Amino acid sequence: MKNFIKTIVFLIIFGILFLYIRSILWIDKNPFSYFYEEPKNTLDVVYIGASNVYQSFNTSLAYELYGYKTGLASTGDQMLPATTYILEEIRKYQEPKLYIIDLEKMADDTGEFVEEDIRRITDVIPFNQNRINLLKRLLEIKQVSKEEAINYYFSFNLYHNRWKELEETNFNETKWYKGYPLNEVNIGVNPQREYKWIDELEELPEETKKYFVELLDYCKENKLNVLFVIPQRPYKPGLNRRLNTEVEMIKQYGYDVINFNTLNDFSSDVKSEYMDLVHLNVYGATKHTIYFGRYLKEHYNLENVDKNDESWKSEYKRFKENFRNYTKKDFDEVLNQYLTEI
Amino acid sequence: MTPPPNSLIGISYYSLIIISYLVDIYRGICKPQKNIFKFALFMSYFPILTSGPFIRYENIKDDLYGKHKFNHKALCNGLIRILWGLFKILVISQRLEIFVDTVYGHLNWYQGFFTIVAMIFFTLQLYTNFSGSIDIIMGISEILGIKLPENFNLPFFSKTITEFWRRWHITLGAWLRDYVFYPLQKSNSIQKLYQDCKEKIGKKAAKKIALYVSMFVMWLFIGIWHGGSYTFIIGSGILQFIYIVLEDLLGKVAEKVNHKLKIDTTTFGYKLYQVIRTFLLFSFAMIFFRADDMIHAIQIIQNIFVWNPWVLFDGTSLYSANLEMADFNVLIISLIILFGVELISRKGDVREKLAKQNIVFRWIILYALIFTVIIFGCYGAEYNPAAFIYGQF
Repeated sequence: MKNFIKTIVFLIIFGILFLYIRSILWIDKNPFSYFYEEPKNTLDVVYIGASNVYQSFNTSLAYELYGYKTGLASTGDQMLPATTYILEEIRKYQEPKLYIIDLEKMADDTGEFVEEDIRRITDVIPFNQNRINLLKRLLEIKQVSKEEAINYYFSFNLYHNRWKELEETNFNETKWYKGYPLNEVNIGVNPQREYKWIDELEELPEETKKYFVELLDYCKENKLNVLFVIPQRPYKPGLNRRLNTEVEMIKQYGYDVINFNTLNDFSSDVKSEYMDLVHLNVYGATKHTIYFGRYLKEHYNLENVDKNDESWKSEYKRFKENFRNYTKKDFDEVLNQYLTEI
Repeated sequence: MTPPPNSLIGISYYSLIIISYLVDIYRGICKPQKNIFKFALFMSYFPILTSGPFIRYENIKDDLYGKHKFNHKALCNGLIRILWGLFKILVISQRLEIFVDTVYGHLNWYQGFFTIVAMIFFTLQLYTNFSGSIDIIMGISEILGIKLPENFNLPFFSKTITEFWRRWHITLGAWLRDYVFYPLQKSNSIQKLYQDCKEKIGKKAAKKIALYVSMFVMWLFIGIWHGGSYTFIIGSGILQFIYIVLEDLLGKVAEKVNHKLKIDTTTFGYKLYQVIRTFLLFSFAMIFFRADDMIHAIQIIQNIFVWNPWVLFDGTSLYSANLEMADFNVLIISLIILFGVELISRKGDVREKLAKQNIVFRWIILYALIFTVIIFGCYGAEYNPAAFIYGQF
């Protein structure tokens, strides 16, 4: 009996240590990781899509200004075939009043993604049947062999080797604030060119159409309240035209679309509010959050019952402090200036 | 090093095991097993099929067919031994393999001290891989309540090649002694040779010649057993035979020289010199063992004589052979730990010593070992699955 108890204690300590080490060595946190950190059924909005989502919408700022909580089920280069599975995953943990789906990557060829794009999603999702199904689909599309596939299902095989890449942030404070990032890159400015939206249509690739219809059907069947978004950025003409085709399809299903490239009353400044070709910097994101956040508040009944959630308040405070550390500027001044302009 | 695609797994092991079984029955050492299932159990005892050790029916039958009860201590000790084996293979051997494969695979780029380091590293790779796999096998057997013979006894502490082979792949050596060397010594041919030589060159020299001929056949057999190619025959056969014969012939000469020069052979320094000499001689022979063919082996040996000691000290060159600095550091620390543990094990089973420590210290050591293997082990997508080098024979 004594040995049995000792063995159990040994295994429990091992389990605790293993989980701690796993959390350090695991794939760097991304906004989707923070989605899972929110208590069950506390989010009002879940915003889905590629990197443009988390680079443009400051969730703790939206909570501060408008009082609703937004979760970001967003990962870099998130692909269309994964979207229904991500929605399925969200619905296990949250009952948001609104789902926002960013269309930026939803009109590409469905096979245009790499291993990292898969891992950013599936290595965040806890081990469950939905994750297995999602992996099965994505690995089939990428024609990954069975031998290689095992490394996607059991990713510690890969991540244990990250001990060489560990940094202070792996152990201490993160550079994410409820899914929104603040770092050396997105405080910078990288002037971009103006883009004029084309109104023409182009047929979707067969596979893209299949997965997009699947997504719309899923939303409809599950009676999800969805808003689709086309972010402001320069597009290749073909992608622009295919997005127009998707907008037509979305309207047939009775959903709304907001295209930030064609708004009369709002536009991001391409000279000062971009960090690279497609992503807003922290100033652009602040302006975008003020406008889009207000739009959402005015059009949807989103207000959260918990208006003084300390975890959201403290993240906003931490964001402001670090904004000052990075830029030597007071965020409230930046915010107030935008608030008077918009 | 990967096994030939169409070789039978473990054929070299169970072939010799069945030979020893049949010979032992013939000699009356054991009785034949008439129960086919029991016989099948003996022949197919799974842990030993890839890397040994060689078992004898007479020594293992009681453990195999006897009753077994759950033994907590055996379970813990077995798991610790498996863990130690995984440490040797995944943390040390696999890292050494990266360096060795890079240097031996790019002879035009890596020469001189790269080759010397690779030569030393390959010997350590072979040892940690082979003895690590034996640790896993012994650990599994310990859990199952089956006692297997030890296959290694700190070979790198040997002062001569003869002693080295008494400590390295012990069960193969014992098998060859009992089923090749002794029968050969007693054979009519060798006895006739002895008699013929005795008349011409005297009793003492004739005895030596008969001994050397038997030894030559035995070492040839070892080379053939390892694969049969010239590299194996030379590396693990003929060269080892030459070393041992030279040790035997020059032993007296060396004694006289030491006496004349008043060299104290009982000092630590002299013993260390002997240990290093033995290690380097074995490592040199292992160039042939590792090389793809004879031409490759000769190129490697030529590369040793390129003078570039700065690659060891310039802070960057040594890390250019696909083993970056962080991995190199892990490797060196792990080798120091291995050396330390082997040093302690000279005075008894390390696990027994560990068991006598208080529980906090004991568990810290175990957790450290477990997480060293989990974190620093070379496994997963970026590495080839750990292969037992001796699994190919």
